[in-house]
Amino acid sequence: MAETGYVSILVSFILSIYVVLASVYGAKSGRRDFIDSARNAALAIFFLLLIATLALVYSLVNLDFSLKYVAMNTSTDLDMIFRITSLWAGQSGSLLLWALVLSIYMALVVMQTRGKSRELMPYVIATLGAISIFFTFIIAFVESPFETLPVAPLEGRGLNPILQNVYMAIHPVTLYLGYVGVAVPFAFAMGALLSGKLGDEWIRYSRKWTLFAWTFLSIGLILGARWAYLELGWGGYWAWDPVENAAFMPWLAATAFLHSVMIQEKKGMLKKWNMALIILTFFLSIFGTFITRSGVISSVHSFAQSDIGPMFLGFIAIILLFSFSMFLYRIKDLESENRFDSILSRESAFIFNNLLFLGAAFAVFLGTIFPILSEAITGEKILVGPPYFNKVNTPIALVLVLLMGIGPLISWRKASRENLFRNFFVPTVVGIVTGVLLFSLGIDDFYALMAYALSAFVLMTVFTEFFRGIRVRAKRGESPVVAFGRLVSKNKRRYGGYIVHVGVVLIVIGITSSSVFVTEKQVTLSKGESVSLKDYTFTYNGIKQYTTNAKNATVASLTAFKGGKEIGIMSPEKNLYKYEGNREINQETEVALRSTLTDDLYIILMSFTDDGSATLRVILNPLVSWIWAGGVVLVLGAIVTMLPSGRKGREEVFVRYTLGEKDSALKV
Amino acid sequence: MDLQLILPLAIALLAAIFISLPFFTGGKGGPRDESSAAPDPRRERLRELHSRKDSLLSAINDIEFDHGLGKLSTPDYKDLSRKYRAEAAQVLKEIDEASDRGRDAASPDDLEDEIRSKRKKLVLNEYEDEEIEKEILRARESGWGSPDARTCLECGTACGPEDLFCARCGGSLKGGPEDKKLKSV
Repeated sequence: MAETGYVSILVSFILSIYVVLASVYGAKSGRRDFIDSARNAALAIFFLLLIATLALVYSLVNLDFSLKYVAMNTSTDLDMIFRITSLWAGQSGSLLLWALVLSIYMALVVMQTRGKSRELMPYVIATLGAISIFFTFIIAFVESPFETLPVAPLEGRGLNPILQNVYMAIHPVTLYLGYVGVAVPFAFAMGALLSGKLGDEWIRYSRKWTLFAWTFLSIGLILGARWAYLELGWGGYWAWDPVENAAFMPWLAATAFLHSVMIQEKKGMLKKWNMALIILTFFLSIFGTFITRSGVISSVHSFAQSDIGPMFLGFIAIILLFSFSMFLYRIKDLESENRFDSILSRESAFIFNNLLFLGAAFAVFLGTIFPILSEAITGEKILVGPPYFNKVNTPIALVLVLLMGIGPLISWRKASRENLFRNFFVPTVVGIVTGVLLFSLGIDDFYALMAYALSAFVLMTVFTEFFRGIRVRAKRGESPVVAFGRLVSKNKRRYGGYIVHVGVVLIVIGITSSSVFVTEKQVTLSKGESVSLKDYTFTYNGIKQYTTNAKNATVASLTAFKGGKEIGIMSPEKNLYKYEGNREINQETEVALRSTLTDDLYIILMSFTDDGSATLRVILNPLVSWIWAGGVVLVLGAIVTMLPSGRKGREEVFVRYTLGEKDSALKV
Repeated sequence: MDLQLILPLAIALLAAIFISLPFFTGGKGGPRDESSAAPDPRRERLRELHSRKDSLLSAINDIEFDHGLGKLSTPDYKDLSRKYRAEAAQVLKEIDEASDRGRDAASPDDLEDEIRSKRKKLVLNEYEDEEIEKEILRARESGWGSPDARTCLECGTACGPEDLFCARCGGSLKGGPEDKKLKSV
């Protein structure tokens, strides 16, 4: 199996080079056969990498310890599901997955554009091929997942215990789909620059693919936060860790692009800006992969240490150099078709939105690379902690929430006073009333009050929009439910966008509440003793220990009461694993969690003594569930915006009709 | 020879065959090969024109609403409208030219008719959607009061703010909630 896998990777590396050469030659010389051959090669790369991946999975499932990767990441007592997911537990497996996902996208793009955009596509495919060269090179020659050991050990090192979690089984895949997906809009951007076809075709493809990648990045981020919350056992879900930031930065840049691209579509403005944003997003995605994969910055999520760092840096340098040279070469063709008319307009709301997203991305970038910079300059690694990130990003986030309410309702070009008053009077009142009400209830944290008031403002604007739309349709005799459905399906981009915004507001409320109003206590209890936190009381019943094949577990048992009424038993665990996998950690805490819509009870077993007393950290975290709920809403909204619009079909009918063609025009 | 060697070789060979296929078929063979050998620039041109027409029409729609609702000043509106309409006219002209050259392969009349009716239906659907869209925009502008869309009291059809008669049944729209609005504009 290993040989098959290795040869597949090798051939796909060679084919990646071929894709670039054949595409470019075909485009330059007008030889269709070369272009078609390159497209076939792109499809072949997908099949080859699929074979390689399946070969590795096969070895993992059958625990072929003669492969270094299998020996490092699995063990004989590992469950089947985690044998499969250890495909992305280590360095070379993750890189193979990266390359595979890229080839999936490449194949999809080839299928999607069959017979279309003939001038643009060869360069798009060539760009994807060039990226593929880099990754297949790494897995073929530097970090091969099929490296064999001289002697196969009898037992593997096992999978790191904190990776044995169901979220860990899906979170990396979704994140990769997002990370790598960013390569597609980048390829279209490069294709447009190289071919000079800078019309609205590339931007339409790019927008769709960015949306797709963005959705997966969002899912990946949320699942990652959920994993950290459940598995890392420190009570939080986001710590501004370099690897978290690495995924967050391309998300920020992609979000900026998704907004500003609307101005280009509607007004033909900001062409240079959008081009730069796409390049930036892709750069941040590769940079994120570099951080995660190279181990330059230590992180709880970095499951890899290696020396591929310099290669990544070289690759990043080439990307930036090449794309910005092309950008400058075509800069004359990227002039705006319109000008700004007023500061009070949707255009400028979008610009502010963009500047803020980029500002946030830059702040996160700076904080993330600061340890490297400081080490390079002063020789001392200075770590930048969450306080920096929170201080910078909280105000930015609040203004973004404000814009989220204003942007969709303000008029294009120049807003009039009536427009502002009519659309924003009620939401503003609702926002202010919310703020005042919460203040009178005793909430005096400025940022929290602002966050709640602004959230109420945004929710009100969105509600108004839906209400109006439904009312208009309902007046034509549709039931409100039907009206809602039709309203959304007739303008998926607009209403899907609103749904995404509602999701974001829910997340903002969840983050605000859980970070500002968290209460916690750390206590050492003997058997029979109790601790109280707000309405809750916990009685400690003692600990028990048990041993399984994989771990020595110590479980504390607590009975939880709310207002004197028993609500259940909570059992935080502290486990010592037999294996430590590819990270030298074999301890793991399993938190006890009782989650409701209003608050999360979160208990961590810190330590215990032989006499049966235990030190526990009890955390009461309000509204955490809103974050996960918001995530679900956000993803649903994103899916709505991605549903097909029927425009393509209409276009096809139009073309066939004007050409007077008979075939299949009626099928549309 | 054992499987360990044959399998990788077979894979590499298959890949090579697949990739060199386009060189040998020479544009005949596969279902899509004919079109890929001879790209149809006219088709692409038309698609591009249509997409530009779409964008222009929606831009014209946009500014019309904005103007009708007092969001856009009249000189601005006239200026933009002239520009967009000129562009749209140009695009339509180009579409005509592009399709005239394409008329050489005429299709049977009955099929033409069918296509035409299909297209008409699509257009009608779109038309209704657009009406609803307009009404939503009007509702957005009216804040929380009753929407200033004029609804025909006879048949319930939504009408434009400046309409005096219902477009569907011809009923008079006088005395609707619109009169206040007309004064204020």
